[in-house]
Amino acid sequence: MTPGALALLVRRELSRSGGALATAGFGILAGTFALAFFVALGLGARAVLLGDVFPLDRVELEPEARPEPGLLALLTGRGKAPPGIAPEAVERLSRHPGVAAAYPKLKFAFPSGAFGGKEIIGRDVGTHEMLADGVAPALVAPDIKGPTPFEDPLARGGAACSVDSDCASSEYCELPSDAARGQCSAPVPVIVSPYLVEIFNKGIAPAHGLPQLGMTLVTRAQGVTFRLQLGVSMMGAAKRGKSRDVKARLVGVSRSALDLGATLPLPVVERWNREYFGPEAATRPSSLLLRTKTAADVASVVQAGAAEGLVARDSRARDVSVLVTSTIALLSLVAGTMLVVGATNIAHTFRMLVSERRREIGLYRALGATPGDIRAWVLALAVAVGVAGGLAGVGLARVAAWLVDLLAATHLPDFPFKPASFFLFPAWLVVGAAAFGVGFAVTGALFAVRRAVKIDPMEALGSG
Amino acid sequence: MSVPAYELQAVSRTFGVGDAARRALDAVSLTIEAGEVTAITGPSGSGKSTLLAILGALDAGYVGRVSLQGVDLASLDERARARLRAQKIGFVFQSFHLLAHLSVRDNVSVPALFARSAGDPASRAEEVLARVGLPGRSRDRPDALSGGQRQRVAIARALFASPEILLCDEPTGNLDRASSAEIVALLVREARERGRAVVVVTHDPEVSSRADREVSLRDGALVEAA
Ligand SMILES: Nc1ncnc2c1ncn2[C@@H]1O[C@H](COP(=O)(O)OP(=O)(O)O)[C@@H](O)[C@H]1O
Ligand SMILES: [Mg+2]
Repeated sequence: MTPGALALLVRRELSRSGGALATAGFGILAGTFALAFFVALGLGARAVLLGDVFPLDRVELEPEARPEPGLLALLTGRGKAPPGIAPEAVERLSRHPGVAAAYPKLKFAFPSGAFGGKEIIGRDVGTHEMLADGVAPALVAPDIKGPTPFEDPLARGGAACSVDSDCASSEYCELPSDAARGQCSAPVPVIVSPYLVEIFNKGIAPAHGLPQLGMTLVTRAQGVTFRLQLGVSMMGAAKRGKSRDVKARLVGVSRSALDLGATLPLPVVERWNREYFGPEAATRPSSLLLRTKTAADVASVVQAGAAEGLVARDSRARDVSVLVTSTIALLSLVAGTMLVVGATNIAHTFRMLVSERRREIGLYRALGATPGDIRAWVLALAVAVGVAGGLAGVGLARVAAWLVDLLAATHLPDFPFKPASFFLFPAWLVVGAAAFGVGFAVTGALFAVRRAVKIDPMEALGSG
Repeated sequence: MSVPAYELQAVSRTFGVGDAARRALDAVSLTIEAGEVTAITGPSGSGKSTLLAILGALDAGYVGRVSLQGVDLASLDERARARLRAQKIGFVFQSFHLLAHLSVRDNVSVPALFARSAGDPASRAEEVLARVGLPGRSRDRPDALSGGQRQRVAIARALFASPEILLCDEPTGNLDRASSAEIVALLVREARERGRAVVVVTHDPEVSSRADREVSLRDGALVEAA
């Protein structure tokens, strides 16, 4: 039988028993719909959660929290290892085969505050208690969209000074506590996390009647300058050094920034930690961010960290990944059950169809059809029903996803990381879900196909 | 003389096994010539349809030897038998077996679905419909036709691929006398003019009297007739 003849036979059958076949195909449609919808939702959720909120191909290690030292240890001054990660451990971990890059982070070892924002939000806001850290400029470089680089401003040198007025108006005098003379410095570049921007926009700004910060506004040329207060905060003064103010400038938004705080170039934090705490606070990173070669390497990297007495700072990424994956699996199981029901429908309808077409099949055989031709006919019919049901199911899933996104956009309040779409329909999902529909339709029809092939033409045509 | 259409040697067919076994054909030996109408007669259950199915290469479960134009049917596999049916054999049935959802023309050209035929199936269908005396009815549905006309459509379908053999099982069984006579005349003409071997299973003495030769079966065995 030629493909043309097969197509003609299938077309004739579709126009003759279209109603029954559409009913039979509905289960396939519903199952494919559910499969495509749920998986797309899962993929969308995973993309938002793991892409923006909890990245998965990186892990941040920090020293294991130790129990409070006893009074005796405090008195004798023994048993108190210096804080942070030993440089040798950093060295070993950055050579781990699963690690693509290692970026030490250093927390401020002294109290600080920050005030500013007049340029973009109309009045100064700030905190007397700022969390801040320093990261290697290389980690952040790709995220800096504006013209101001994220690096130690003193690296380019500066004129000698003793007060800010010795310097250009945009600069300040970087004068360490114990130094007689300082150096003029451009404002220290600062980055913040998209999380902080979201929190500000969706939480703080509405509550205090402040305008929202557009990402472009934050990252635009020259950025926003503000004042950092070093060495003193609400909680008290630093162990050493004098409190002083420095100029800082917001130069970008990066996932590598501290969630709720400010992040500065590592060399700057090293200098200031030395100034306000001591040399050991400059050489031992408080945590180590490791970008792994693949997400699968995270586990072995974490294990290597454990050998150095380090633990992952945040297992949320993995928790979320496992949660999303198991939710997708569960919902796919529901969709699979629907598909099985759909296949049962198909099986029933095709069984009826074949017994109704018994004589016709016998006639075709007498007129020259091989059993293979009969098999091709019934299978092609099942494929047609499966393709129609599968494509309609995937199509409906996309329509439903679009509707959900539309409703979410218009009816749900803004929340941090609210995505433009909750769904992701990669090509493989579209093709795969439709293929599942076809597969279940064909599987359902297989029994009927066997029966059709086995029909004895002589018997089917009867004594007539 | 050319090769006979069929040669049968000691052909037997048993249905069922053990106690339920029933011999439907019993050592039938027979030659069927091209260009002749051969009538197969006999009481109900005597094995006529069984014989026709074997001749039509629809039933390969016999013992003995059946050759069609010198080719041993037992040497052919399922596909080859299907091709043989498509190219060399036309079937006509008592209850016509027309497909109600198709027009007359599409019914006639159903064989084109399973065999490569040269030319346009629709025009070939018109050709054979004219030949059986039904020009101009090709767009009708079968249920718009009388019994005699339906059987003509069925014969047109059987003639579609110009087969050398026509196998007819009680072709007039559902028809009135006048229609029967027309159908028989059509079949006789196909044998005479086109040299086809026409085999007609029939109860009807009117039909067998028009045949060139009559073969009688009783309990699956040949009864030598005149
Ligand atoms: N497929 C079959 N299975 C079992 N028995 C059959 C089958 N076909 C025919 N028979 C039996 O073989 C005998 C001959 O049947 P058949 O050839 O149809 O007779 P006729 O056509 O002469 O009436 C009958 O007894 C019938 O019951
Ligand atoms: Mg019979």
